[in-house]
Amino acid sequence: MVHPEEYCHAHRRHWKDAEVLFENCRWANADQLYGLSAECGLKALMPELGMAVKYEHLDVIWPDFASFATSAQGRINARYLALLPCGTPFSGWSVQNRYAHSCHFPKSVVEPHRKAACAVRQMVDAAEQDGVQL
Amino acid sequence: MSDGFIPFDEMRGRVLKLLMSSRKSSAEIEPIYLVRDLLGRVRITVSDMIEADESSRAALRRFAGSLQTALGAHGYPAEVSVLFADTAMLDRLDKGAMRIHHNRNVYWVDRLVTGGDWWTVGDPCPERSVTRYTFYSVKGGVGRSTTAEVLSWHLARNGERVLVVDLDLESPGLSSAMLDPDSLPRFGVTDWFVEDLVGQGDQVIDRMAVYPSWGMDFDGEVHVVPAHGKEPGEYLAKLGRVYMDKEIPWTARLERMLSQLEEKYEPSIVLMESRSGLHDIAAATVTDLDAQVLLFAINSDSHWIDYDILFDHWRTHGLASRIRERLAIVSGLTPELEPEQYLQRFREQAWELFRGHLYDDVDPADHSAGGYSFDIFEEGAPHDPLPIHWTRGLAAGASLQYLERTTVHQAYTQFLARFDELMTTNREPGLP
Repeated sequence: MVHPEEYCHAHRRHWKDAEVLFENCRWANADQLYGLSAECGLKALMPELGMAVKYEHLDVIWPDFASFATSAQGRINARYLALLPCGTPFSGWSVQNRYAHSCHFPKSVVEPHRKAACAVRQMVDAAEQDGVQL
Repeated sequence: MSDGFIPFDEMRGRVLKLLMSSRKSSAEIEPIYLVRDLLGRVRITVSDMIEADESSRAALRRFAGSLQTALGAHGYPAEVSVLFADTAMLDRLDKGAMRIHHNRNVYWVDRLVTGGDWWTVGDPCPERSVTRYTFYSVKGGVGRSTTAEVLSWHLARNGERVLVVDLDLESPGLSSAMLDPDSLPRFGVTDWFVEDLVGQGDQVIDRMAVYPSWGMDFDGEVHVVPAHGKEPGEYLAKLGRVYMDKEIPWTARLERMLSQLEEKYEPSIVLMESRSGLHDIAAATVTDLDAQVLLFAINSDSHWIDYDILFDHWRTHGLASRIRERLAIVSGLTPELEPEQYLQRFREQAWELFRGHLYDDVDPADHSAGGYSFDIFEEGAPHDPLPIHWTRGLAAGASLQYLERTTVHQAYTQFLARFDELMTTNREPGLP
């Protein structure tokens, strides 16, 4: 059975679980969840910022979101999109990596993903406190 | 008032009343952050630690229901009126929070589209050797640009290295007062802000300042940084990007630009002309840049009312002690007719303003009481006006190079003497 999407809730759940795994040096699965957390966070924000939600994974939606961020108009959009990290921090991340060997995910690979996921988290938090319906 | 209508200004009072009447139940869920969102609706944020506790959740539900009733359209439906936050998020909220009642752990947070910098006052930076001054006023046309020019000239004659920065970006006046159009540098402040967004602010920082039109025959020197360069270019397109946050708040970008200019020109003193009014860039230059602030005013109700709004905000948000020692008031256009009487009335108004909001409620004559308070006639107190005597020769927009020396002398002698004293006082903490 597939339950309906609740991106904001899922974003936070993945973040919390990723943090637990990270603290216990479970780098590979922490990496997966940081990516999924960022993906859900962006999907939670997209409709509120005027973007259509794409049913794609993070490696596809991050560049789209960043591209939208640079062309967005208005104070409200600028307010959240300014928190988006520069570049493509998740370029090496893929949801397919859940099938990969743990040796491909040392801490040094996970840390930039954690930092970028944290930035998405701050965007979501800020939007929620501002009263944006997520 | 019609039934059910609860105006914006009644929110805080209603929340306080609710807190008093629900002390027992709401105490269980403290600390409580009451966050007023961008639309002016209040929602509760509490620690996610209490989410698992049934008794706390029940108390929270009761409080949320009462809050919605108390606030009407400025509240949220009870079922979506609570957010649970982890420690990191509570820390972020804490930065702009104001304690709403002295013995309750309940905090008020305003989420704003603009003007958020009026809610904080930056920390002083004791290791910085240069002294910064912001020229601020609640309304324009009170002589800030002319004063910045005269003061920089005076300071340079006394051997100071002066950097003058035009931050009145929506209405640049200082640049045109001090610089001939042909002598403007290649770039200005707005150019730095847009280039910084794409990581090349360092490409323009060396080409943003020039000497003023009236030369450099001084022991010291003056550099002027205008709002725009010789060719304003697409000024509105650049201006629309100045206040852009990019990973750091735009005010931190402003601080970075100033620091780069200070590193490049090594001034001993920086004068910044701020935007007038309750504008974002005014908030930044008054509160964030660790600057001493010259508050320009004329003795008119329209000025005192606006200053009263600002001072009252600082008082009610617990910022009085952080801002008051940076302030000095300037009588910008002291009239030629009966100037002493005018200055006396100006002093009374200024004293009422400071005493009502920023001075401590102690007798200034009682030195054993401590506190920060001054008698109305105390010289050098923040309310003691630095007078500029307007004369007909000081027509609006006139540049120093066209003014008679006697005119400038007549208008500014008292002001410059008082400023020198003020500067000495400001520098004392840094003296070896």
